[in-house]
Amino acid sequence: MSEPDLLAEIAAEAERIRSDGTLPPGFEDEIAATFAALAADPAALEREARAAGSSPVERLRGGLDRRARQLVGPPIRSLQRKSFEKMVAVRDASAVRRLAAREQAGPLLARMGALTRRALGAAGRAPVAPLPPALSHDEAGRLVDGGLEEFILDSLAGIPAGPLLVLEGEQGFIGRRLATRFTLSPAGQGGGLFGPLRRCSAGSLAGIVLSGREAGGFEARLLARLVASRLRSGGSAVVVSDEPSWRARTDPVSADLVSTGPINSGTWLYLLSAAGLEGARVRQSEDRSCYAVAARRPL
Amino acid sequence: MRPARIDQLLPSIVGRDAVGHHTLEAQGVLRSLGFVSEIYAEGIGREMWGRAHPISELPRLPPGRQWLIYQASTGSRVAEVFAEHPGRKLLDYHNITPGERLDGWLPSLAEELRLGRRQMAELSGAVCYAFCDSAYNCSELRSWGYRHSAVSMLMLDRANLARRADRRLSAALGRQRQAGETAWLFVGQLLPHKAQHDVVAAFAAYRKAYDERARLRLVGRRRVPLYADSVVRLADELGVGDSVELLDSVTAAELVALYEGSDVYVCCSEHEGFCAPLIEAMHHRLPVVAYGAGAVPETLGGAGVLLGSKEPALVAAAVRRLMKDEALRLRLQRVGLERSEDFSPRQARRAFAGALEQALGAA
Repeated sequence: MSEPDLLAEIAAEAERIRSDGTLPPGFEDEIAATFAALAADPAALEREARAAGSSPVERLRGGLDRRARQLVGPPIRSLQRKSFEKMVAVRDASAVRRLAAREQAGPLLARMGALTRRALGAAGRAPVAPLPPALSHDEAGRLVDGGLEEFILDSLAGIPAGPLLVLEGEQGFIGRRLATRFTLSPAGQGGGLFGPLRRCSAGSLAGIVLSGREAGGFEARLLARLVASRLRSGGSAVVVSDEPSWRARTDPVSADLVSTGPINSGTWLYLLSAAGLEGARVRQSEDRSCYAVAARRPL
Repeated sequence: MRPARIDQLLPSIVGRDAVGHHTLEAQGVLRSLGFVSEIYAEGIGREMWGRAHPISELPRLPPGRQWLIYQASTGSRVAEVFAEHPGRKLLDYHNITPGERLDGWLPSLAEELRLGRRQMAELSGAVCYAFCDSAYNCSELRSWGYRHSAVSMLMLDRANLARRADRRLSAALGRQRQAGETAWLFVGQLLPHKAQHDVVAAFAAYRKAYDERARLRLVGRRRVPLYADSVVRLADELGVGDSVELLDSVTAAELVALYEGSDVYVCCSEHEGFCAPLIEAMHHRLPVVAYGAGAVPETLGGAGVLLGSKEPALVAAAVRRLMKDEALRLRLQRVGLERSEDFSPRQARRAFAGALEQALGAA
């Protein structure tokens, strides 16, 4: 805004405070002189010049230092970065192996658990009733929450040609529903999360749907990275949470801090985005007991 | 022929840096247009690991298959890598301050800037098209012999705009304003050409003439320690040392609180290629009083009080007018907000994509 009237009025006001003694005479000149004196402090300038290496010997030494840094710095930084990335990759691979092995041992442990429970039951202790699953379907196999089903199908629309890996809990009705539209990867039949994903090669899947399997803390972060690496360009990942019981048990933050899941939808959004997927979005079921999160690998 | 990939080069990329953020945004635009696009830099901040590659890994595809964009803001060896590469070359010029302005303060930085401007002149024959943040930057390129250039837009870091203000700081600033203190603000690295010393001088005149309770906050990294010391000592000499705060490093939320908790943004800078803080101030409805140097007039776009001189009495009188004239203040807040919308992410991405299409068409 530089209207002539406004600027003229401002200039007149400046002139007034100069001439009527509001500002002491010579005030502005004094400021300029004060700053010039401070700026021309020879001792300070000398210090700066010394820091920059202005004597011939120091200049030479500074030049050699800089040249050495130029030569050695980038390779060292590159090595540091690569070794850090390698360390993360090794740590992740080892954790995936460990988790896959635990998954394989799962059915055995479950059978042992059942035997133990029977033994305890025989001793008079009541068996613990399992929590009912939140996701349910009608006779035709459709998810009762139509909005959630629509969201899953919408997220998988336009994925590239290739197999869709569906890893879900015992019900398996999402896989049955999707089998009519997509080619399902056989890797999803064996159970577990990390094992099937580990068996698929990098960039081989057009889509991944995870549902009804608990994963929290470090495992969830690892899972997000594994999912992102297995997707083809343009492929989609959908995570469906059908375990509402944690909401009743604890607040969302505490739930996310538990080492085994499930976690909040917002945390999945973050994890999938941090793993390199884009367009992450979330859909809550109508009764807010379950949610689905979807994201896509960039083209 | 349309290239398969368009890669970007820059001297260094770190978090919360305007050019670095612009480069990441540009990568998004390039990828959305179907190009393979990676970022290569000599210095890569830890937070950018995985998002940028070392310059030594820059691939060399046959001519025509690969184009390069150099994000230029200082002198660097990366400009030499860019010049020697066989790919077609585009330049995104964010302005390089003339080295003379730093000569008496930090000779090493002055030399780096001089190198940068020399490199810009030398690249004029090799670059087929240049984008600039402002018409002012384009005029500098033309003076070095660049024939094809267009004003694009700096894709601003929205963190300073969209984030919510720090509540504790907001409350503290609110209490000070309720007590009747006028709060001045300037945001930018402490560098001689940003002329924080002139803001201090004008502030001293304002306190003497109008309001002894006024406060000034200078937010920005002390890039040149000698200059920062001189600004502090000037404030002490003028008797306003207790009312001038130098805030070295603030979070985005704190910065938003400072914009929202101030009465006026005062800029006396002598050289600006764009001046992003003006947009941030206008976005937060903070009226601007600025000296019209470099690209400041075109960035303001008529939405602030633009002065032809930065004599302390004149700047002080302009701030006084703003504080007394509520109609003027409200008008500036309204037009300032409208002006800041011109730089929305959508507009900026569209401008960048448009400039890129022009460059592809011109090749």
